[in-house]
Amino acid sequence: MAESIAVLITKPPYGTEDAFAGMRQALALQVSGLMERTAVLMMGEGALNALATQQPRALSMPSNAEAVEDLVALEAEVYVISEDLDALCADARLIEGVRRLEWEDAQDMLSAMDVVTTF
Amino acid sequence: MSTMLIQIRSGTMMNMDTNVLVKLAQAALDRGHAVKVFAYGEGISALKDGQDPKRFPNVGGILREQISQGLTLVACETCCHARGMRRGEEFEGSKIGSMTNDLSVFVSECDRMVTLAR
Repeated sequence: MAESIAVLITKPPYGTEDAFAGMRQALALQVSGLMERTAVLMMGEGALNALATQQPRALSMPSNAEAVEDLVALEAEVYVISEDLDALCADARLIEGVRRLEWEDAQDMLSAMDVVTTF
Repeated sequence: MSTMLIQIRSGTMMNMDTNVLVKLAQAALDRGHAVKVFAYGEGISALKDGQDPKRFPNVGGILREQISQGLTLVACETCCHARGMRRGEEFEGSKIGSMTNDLSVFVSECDRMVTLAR
């Protein structure tokens, strides 16, 4: 029986559906009330989903920033790997509520989760 | 008996992910485990009735047989709707369901979760 899930977001926003789909899935799990703990962890190019400066209107795509904001509003845990974000983007401004996590701490966090799924 | 949840996000003819799905599911079923499959994104094509590939394994046909062995197969309704797959187009025994009502229960009840995607 699983009481906690980590949703890993490894794909960048826009270009593929994966990151958006993963966040919507995390949101559904969070609102179901069946998970004691739902955490989203953005890593690799997926770290770009944490940026507050996304401008998806130019692409006529749904906003990944809003998907992140929905997760934060519903009290899911949302993390971005600090090293990955800093490697891709200098002086990144994060969406409010997204927390930075070092890789070492991310390993501990993932070890504590019952199941993990990857997008 | 343990319960394995498999999330499939690749379409049936995109790559070999769905072939891995049915082989993994069969191995678990043969060992007496429960298997639940949630189809998300392009993975919803696994439920489409009438699959008839000429040269490749018929994943739909295999899944239909595995349902008779106890496998549970549910697809994301939003994903189906977005791709024009309507209720009633899924083969018998499978179900168009939802993340909130079905996947969340599957996750809460599973012992292991495997995600198949690229």
